[in-house]
Amino acid sequence: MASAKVRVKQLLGEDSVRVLPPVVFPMVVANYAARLAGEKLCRVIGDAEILSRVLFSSYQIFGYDLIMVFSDVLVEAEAMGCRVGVQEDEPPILERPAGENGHLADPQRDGRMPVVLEAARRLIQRVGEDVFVLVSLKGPFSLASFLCGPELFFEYLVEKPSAAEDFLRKATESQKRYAQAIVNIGGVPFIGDPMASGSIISPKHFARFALPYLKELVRKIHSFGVWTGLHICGDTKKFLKMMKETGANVLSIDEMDMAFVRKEVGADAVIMGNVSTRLIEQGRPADVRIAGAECLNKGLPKLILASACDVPVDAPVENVQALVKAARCWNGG
Amino acid sequence: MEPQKDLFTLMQEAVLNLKPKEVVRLCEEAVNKGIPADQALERGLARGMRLVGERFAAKVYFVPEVLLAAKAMYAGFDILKEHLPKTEKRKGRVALGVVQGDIHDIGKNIVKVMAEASGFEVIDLGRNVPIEQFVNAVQDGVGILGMSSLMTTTMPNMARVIEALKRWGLREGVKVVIGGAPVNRLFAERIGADGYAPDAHSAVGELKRLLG
Repeated sequence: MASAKVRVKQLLGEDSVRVLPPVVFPMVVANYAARLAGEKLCRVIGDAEILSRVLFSSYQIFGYDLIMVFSDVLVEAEAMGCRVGVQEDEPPILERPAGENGHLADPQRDGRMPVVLEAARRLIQRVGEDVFVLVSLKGPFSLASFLCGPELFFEYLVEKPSAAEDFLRKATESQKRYAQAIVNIGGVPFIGDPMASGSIISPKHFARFALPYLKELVRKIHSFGVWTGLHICGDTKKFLKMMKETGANVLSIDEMDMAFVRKEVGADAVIMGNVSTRLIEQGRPADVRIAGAECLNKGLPKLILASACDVPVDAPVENVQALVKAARCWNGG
Repeated sequence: MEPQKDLFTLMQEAVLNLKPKEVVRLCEEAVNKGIPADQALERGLARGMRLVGERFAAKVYFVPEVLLAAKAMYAGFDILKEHLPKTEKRKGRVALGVVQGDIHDIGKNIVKVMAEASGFEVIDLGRNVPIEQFVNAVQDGVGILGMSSLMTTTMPNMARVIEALKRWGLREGVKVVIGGAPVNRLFAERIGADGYAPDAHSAVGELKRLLG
């Protein structure tokens, strides 16, 4: 079997060659990997060695085809001046937004960016030519909302768009630098924009306040000579065409009918998704395999079989294995 | 058409169109004209907020629009509240909070606004609320305890609160309603909650049902 990296490259290529076995990635990130390794989350997200070790050991256990260095959604917000409260075994919380005092982050120095970059560097050293190491990069909309404070930011969208746009521009500029730093160590910046969700904002607001900045960021990443992906949580049915318009090479889609997604984004778009995280958490391994096969049926050939969102911390190991198996045992349907 | 009805309709529209200043102006006008504040609240602001809730349920409005409408409603409420009759009958006391470990409180805040607009007295316990604080609130006397959580990891804390209420002998005296994205009816039944609401609009319906 060709290496994961080779198969992902085939998938991203122009021609719609059938990649076998299909690429698979249950979105295991820091919290699940920490639980699996018996580490407290607060230790994992503050220490490059531990972060890289738990992510590597999860990769070894399941043998999936991508690695994602994602510790929590506030890495960039903290680096830009937000105060973040660390909890023992839950993700950090936004204690005080940076507001007007938010500054462009220096990836080598500010907050936990150096921890994330160093963890990614160590992972790349370990797996180098075998597998792409993705590093989470927050979308400008989400980052701007954290910088400003989400409630005030949402008010600005309606009442004072120019104030929202100031935050968006600053967030975009800062993320360009961070993306550059990620590419410099050999990582692939993978954009996640959880606040730009169709469950939170309207298509009109997405078009005005999320799309242009995502486009700008994707263009910049492409100028570094690497590919990128875009994940948006929640109901994005009305955002799918705009997600494609960002230019991101991989569109990571939350739970919804894969056939609908394929129809919306066209045959040429690489989709990542989208087995229900609730099923992965509460279902039986057989259910997960069936759901995985259904996704493959509807989404191939340009599909990375994945969970709809991050694998929930309480998901049984057998269910994560079942998702990987669904791809490994795929016989072409 | 009677002139008062016009003013009420304008108030509804100002809330629905997310115009705080317009709401304030209309409320002042209502007060100056001697229109009873409870009427202006119920037939103007609250009705407007219910229309907002309907648009939210229909996915015409999203979170930013609801937050703005809430801001507009509160701006008007601040004008009217001094003029509300002291004997006004409130529907019931409700304590709301986001369980410990979870700081996602936008949904809870929306429920709060809708409940207040519908005549409930709301005690806001905030977010990341420890179990004891929920218990204390019930001890102080509320008809309904509402809890929410947006994360699967913190959902079990809802069950812990209910257990604590039982331990303190407080469970019988209060109705418990829960909500939040990962919560479903099955979970609500399993942990022994009295009610469940998938969104802010239906939350108010549940409050009315439980006190009804």
